[in-house]
Amino acid sequence: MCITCGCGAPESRTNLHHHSHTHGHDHAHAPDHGHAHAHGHSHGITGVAGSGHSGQHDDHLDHHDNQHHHTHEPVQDTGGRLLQLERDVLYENKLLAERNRGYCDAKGILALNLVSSPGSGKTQLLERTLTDLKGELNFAVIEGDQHTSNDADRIRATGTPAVQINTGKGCHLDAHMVLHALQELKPAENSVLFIENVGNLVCPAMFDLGEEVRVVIMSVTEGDDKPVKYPDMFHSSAVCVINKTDLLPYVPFDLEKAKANARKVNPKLIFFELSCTSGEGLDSWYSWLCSKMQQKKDN
Amino acid sequence: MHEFSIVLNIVEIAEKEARIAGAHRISAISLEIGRLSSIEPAAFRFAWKQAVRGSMLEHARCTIRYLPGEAACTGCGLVFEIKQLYEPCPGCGLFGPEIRQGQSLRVCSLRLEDEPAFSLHPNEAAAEPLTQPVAASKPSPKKF
Repeated sequence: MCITCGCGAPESRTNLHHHSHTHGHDHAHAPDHGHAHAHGHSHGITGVAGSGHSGQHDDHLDHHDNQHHHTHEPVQDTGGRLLQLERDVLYENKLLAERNRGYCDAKGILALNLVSSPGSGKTQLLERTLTDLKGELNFAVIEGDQHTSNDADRIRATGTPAVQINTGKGCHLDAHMVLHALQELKPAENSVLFIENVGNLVCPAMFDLGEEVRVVIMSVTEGDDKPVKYPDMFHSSAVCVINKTDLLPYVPFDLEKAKANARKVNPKLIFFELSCTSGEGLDSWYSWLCSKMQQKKDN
Repeated sequence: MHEFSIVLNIVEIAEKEARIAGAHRISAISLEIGRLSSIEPAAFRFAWKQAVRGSMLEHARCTIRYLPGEAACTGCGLVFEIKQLYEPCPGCGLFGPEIRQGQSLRVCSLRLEDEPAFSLHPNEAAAEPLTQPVAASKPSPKKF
């Protein structure tokens, strides 16, 4: 039972690893505490009724189509009592995200949520940043991956405290996982907190973690139409890092076209074009980080 | 597949509210999904079938209302229906309008049953009139 957030059934899907040198992992939650609804109850799924019965925006997912007559009014064709909820499905996540945000604000922590597809160089960007700005800024890192603590190990090798979240089958971090990671990590006051999300350009877009800035990273080895293929992520981000620019001569990636595509989705995006291998362009990323941190302190 | 965790969230919300209201089961649920909400209907349907198993929603009828996207141009102020986030204003061509509608994801209502589904034959349940009044008169406690 989690005292802080009251979660009765902490997920086995989330394991927090924070010990660097042992192979025994610290499980924040007992692994037998599953999500409550998945025991193998095997009623036949009778298939999905399509949207043919109703207006163009309605859809019915029926599981026992022998009992009900369709009407066009949702949830009014049976007995029982109607409970009007009008509840945001992500309400709980938003609540916890605000809680994380409040925690970071109170401690002067600048939280950045790094999102991208796998292999764009998120961890490499962190390694460079943590090494190059050592002494200038304090850092802490939350690493999100489905499995392994490889990334957290890489981060710790730079001397930065890091917590690894393993989402298991989960395809994104959520505010609840980050809340527990923050409890483990206890980032220092006035530090920069990097939250490296699971490599996935789709799902993490929906989940506010309580970050101050969402940073989307793409690399020149990807297609320059990525922003319009996966618009949600670019729409919800404020900063776009284009990584691996040292490879530009060898790939068909059109930098200006990529930026134009990203601006179609989000004209307010701030761009950083850089290469973690050659170091080109890192300076402007660093000075943005430092000025952002200064703003945080001044407030 | 974030749709799966979205459905789990819905199950959690519905079961919690149903229990608070003292209901035995949920016979129907109505959802609103914005067209710009990152939910893919086919993936959602697939996730629904898997995720509601063994829950109070397993036999519930699910009605989804898809809400179209609506945006207002930050330049000329034109309000228009938007299908993709990268669509420019049809009036002046400016990108990045303010999204006013279509990103929501809500549980609108639940139909709660006070009696357990009890029947020897699956069709009898429908034939038998429900004795409970359709009680708007019985306000259910809300918890936040």
